[in-house]
Amino acid sequence: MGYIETLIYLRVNYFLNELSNYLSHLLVDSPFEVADIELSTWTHQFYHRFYFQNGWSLIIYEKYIFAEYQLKISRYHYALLHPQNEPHLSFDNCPHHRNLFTFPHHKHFYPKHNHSPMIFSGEIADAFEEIKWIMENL
Amino acid sequence: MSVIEPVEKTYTPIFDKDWDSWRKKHPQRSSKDILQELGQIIKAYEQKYRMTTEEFIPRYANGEFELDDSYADYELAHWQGSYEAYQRLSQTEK
Repeated sequence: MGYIETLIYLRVNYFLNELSNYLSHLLVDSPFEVADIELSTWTHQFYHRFYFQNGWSLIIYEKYIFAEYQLKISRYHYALLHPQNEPHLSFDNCPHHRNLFTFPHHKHFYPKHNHSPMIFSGEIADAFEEIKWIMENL
Repeated sequence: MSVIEPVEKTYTPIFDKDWDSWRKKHPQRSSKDILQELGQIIKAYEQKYRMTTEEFIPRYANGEFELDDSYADYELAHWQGSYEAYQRLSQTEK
């Protein structure tokens, strides 16, 4: 693996570990496809859907760039979906909501036209913590 | 006065063993294989959203789908990212 690929591998490893810390007791126990991580190191993006035992699911998308000798997440989406496949909550950094002090990081509850975008730190562990709270209080 | 030691957050790689055993069983994929896989991802999104990638990319860049709930924004980002990776790897192939 090259330098960028190793950094991507470590990033994916980091957030899978966080995912495991926060949500492993709620997720379906299925082996993670290593092929997905290999694809990530080639394509510089990660996309995977994790299923909860109650039928809900979590999609994690991250796109990476290498700048100033660092791996940076240029775009991300973390989306919590109902069993009917409809999104309930999502976190992303699309640069659309400049009025939020956490710009570009924000979150949406759905449907979007009924809920204003809200602040979000941009830290994936914070998203997992909120998702954990939702899943434990349904 | 007590000194508060900084807590060093450590994590254990959770798929290192999986990676090694998987690597032994699977041959290294070439950029051609990855291009084929990306092509399939892009085609699936074109069919799902009934739009060519050439049409989608500038509309996505303009933020046209941001407030439209009929488009899953994580899928659109994946589509755009896959197209970008496809372009990059195609250049490398040449």
